[in-house]
Parts: sequence; structure tokens; C-alpha cells
Amino acid sequence: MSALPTLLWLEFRKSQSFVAVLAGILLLTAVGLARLGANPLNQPEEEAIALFSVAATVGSTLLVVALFLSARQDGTGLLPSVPGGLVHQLARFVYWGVLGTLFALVLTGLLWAYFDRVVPGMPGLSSTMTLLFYGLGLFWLPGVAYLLLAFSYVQSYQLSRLGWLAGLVAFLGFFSLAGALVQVGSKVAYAALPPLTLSLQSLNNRLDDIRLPLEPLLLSLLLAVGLLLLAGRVWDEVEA
Amino acid sequence: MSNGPTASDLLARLEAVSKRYGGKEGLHEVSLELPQGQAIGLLGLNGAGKTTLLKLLAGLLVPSQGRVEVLGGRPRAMRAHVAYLSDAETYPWLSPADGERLMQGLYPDFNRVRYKELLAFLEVPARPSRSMSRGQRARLRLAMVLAREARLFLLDEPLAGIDLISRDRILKTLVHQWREEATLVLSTHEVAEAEGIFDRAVFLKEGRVVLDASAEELRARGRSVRETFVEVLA
Repeated sequence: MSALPTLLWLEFRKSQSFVAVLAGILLLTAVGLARLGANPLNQPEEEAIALFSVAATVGSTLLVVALFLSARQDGTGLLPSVPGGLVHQLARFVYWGVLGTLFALVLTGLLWAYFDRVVPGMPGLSSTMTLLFYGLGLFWLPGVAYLLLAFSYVQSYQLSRLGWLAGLVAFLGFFSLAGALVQVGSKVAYAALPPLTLSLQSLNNRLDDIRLPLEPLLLSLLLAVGLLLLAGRVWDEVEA
Repeated sequence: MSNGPTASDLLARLEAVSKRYGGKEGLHEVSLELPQGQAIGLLGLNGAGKTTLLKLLAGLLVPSQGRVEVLGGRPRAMRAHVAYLSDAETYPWLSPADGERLMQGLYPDFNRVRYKELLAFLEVPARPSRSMSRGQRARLRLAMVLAREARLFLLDEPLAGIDLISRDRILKTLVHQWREEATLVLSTHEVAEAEGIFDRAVFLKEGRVVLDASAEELRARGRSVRETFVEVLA
């Protein structure tokens, strides 16, 4: 596992320019929200949400494109590696998982800070962040593992036309599978594990509790581990 | 005629190895023994099977038939002792400093002092690959791989893109220095550069070994490597 820091560094070097662009998106969002705050004549809340949505959409699309381009650089087969495929894929997973999380964290933090200034009785930052981490664990982490597997597979086996068709079915099928997992998880929610309870303050200052079931989150994380193991296996299969 | 290698100094072995890519055969029943401390030239036209043979030894391919053994084990398990240079391009952002960082983290046998000496010897500029010439990029990749203290070096067309004068100088130094401590297998289709350099030349044609001869045996035939190349491969 001593190769892991080097592989994380390698991911960073491959994606350096994309990281700069993501930082630029966050900066522009911060500037945009600051300007909205200075001009309360229109409907700044709606504009803030629109700005947040655009930044989130562009940022997440960019992350997926960057992950693909970064994975493609290794396709050059520069050097056969002593560390196994799982270590390579784990490094990618950690790097892109953390990068996406940081981006979402800062973006959500900016929006929260804006609303905290202009809307009375906003939920606390810790509740907002817990909700965010819950969502990231549910969607982003298995999504990254899935993308790593999909990109490794496509690169390794040079899909034919029929292969692309199968790939498309698998791609669409993944979301159905993830949806089914969440549904199954929701059905057994509150039954097996205690839910995660968040106290959120609504606009009229009444305290509401949100109970988030832990089962779908655990299933998503298990799915991520499974996909990561498969991606590591594909790497080893192609290298040897 | 050279003496055959003993079991103790044998570094790698291929036994009746065939490799098929779909319906196409890349190698056909190739048997070879690579002893310790030899510089072996792998000669053949494009598509002769040189890269396939090197990739099998590096553990990057699995034979369709036959057995490949490196240091007494499966090639994949012996990667820590095998340095392989592919003919693929490197990362466009990679500079010599990045190369050092990368190799040091991935290969425990990477020697930093030797790397710096190699960079100086090969005259590699300190800038990213994207702003180097093809020959300079080839030199950088060569320095990265040769700085390892491996037992077996597998170099696939390492001098492609390097000018003729430098190529001769690099090859002579490389072979004389490295065969003392390791076995060197170098593929090339530039036969002129193989003259008087290798201990042994293996000629491949359409996936088959058509001649495997030591330098003494080649000399005894009274023909140069180039003439032999034309004779056996044309």
C-alpha cells in the first residue's frame, strides 16, 4: 500500500487543470452570491438557487469528464506496475471521491452562508452538511466506483458496436439497480438500524425532525466496494 | 558455439509458447532460455512478434499455450524484478522531476543517483514531455526504466526517434554497463545498430524464431548481422 500516496499524486497531476477550473467555478459562484446579497430588489433567493444549480451541474459534469480523461491517460500503458489493480483503482476512487466531496462541500457551504444571511431561521450548518454527506454517500461514491469500472472496461476491451449497446444497457441498468437498492433499503428502513435523525428549523421557526434511514446508505457503500473490487479485477485482467 | 546456460544462472524461460489474438497468431511455439548477464537482441520486421514476446516476459500478456517463467515464477509475480519499457508514449505533463517522483513511489528498486546520471548522459531537458522532441521523450522513458536495479530489462524499441549518432553511443554504453548486473533483452528492427553489440541475436519472423545465435556463432558464419537479417528474414 506504500504506492498509494504516489498514485494519489499521479491522479492530481493528471487532473490539475480541471481542479483549477473547479476552483474557478466556486470562485465565480461566491462572487455571484455576494453580488446577489448586495442587490435585494429582485428575488435573490431564486437567483441564488439558480446559480447554485448551474454551478452544481457544470461542476459535476466537469468532474465526470475529468475522471474519464484522467483514466484515459493511463491507457497509454506507460509502465507495468508492481502494485495490483485494486490499489490503482482505490487511489482513483479516493482522489475523485474526495475531490467531488470537497467541491460539493464548498458549494453547499457558500449557498448556506448566503441563505443564513438573508433568510431567518435557517437550519444549522452541521445539519446541512450531514444531509450533504448522506447524499454523497448515497449517490456520489457508488457513482465514482461505477464510472471507474465503466471506463476501465471500455478502455480495456475496446468495445465493438454490439459491445457499446451492451454497455449502454449496463449504464442505464445501473441507475435502475441503484434505484431498486434504495427502494429495498427504504422498505426495511427503521427496521434494522436506527435512523439518522436531523433537527431542522423550518422557515416559521418550528423544529422538524428528519429521519434518514441508514440502510440505503449502507447498501450504496457496499455497492461502491463491490464495483471497486470489480474495477481492480478488470485492471489486473488487462495487465496480465 | 557457446555453452548452454546452467539451471542456476537461468533468468527466464519460454517453453513452446504460443500467443493468439483472436484468429491471428502472434507467436508460434517459441522456446527460449535467457541466462543471467546477457545482452540479447530481438530482431525482426514489424509484426514479427517482438513486442508480444517482451510483453509475455513482462507479465503483460498470458500465453495461449506453453509456459513462461521468470526467476522461477510467474512473470506477473516477478514484476518487482523486471523493468519493462513499452513503445507507448508517456504522460504529456511528465517532466524528469515527475518521472523521479513516479518511479520512486512505484518501484522500490529505483535508484535516484543512477537516474540523475542517466538524465545527464542521455541529455534529457528539464521540461514537460509535451515540449520535448520524440527522441527526448524516448530518452526520458529510457532513463526512468534503466534507473531501476532490476534483474531483467525488457526494452521495446527503446531508441526509436533518437538520432543515429546518439543512438549508437547510447546503445553501446547501455549494453556494456547493464549486462554486467542484469540481463538485457532489446527489440529492434534497426539491424545496423545490433552489429557487434549483443551477446546473442534472436531473429523472429511471423511469430516464429528462425535463428537464435550467439555473437560467436554469427561471426563463424562469416556474415554481418545485417546480412544474416536479410538472409533469414527476407
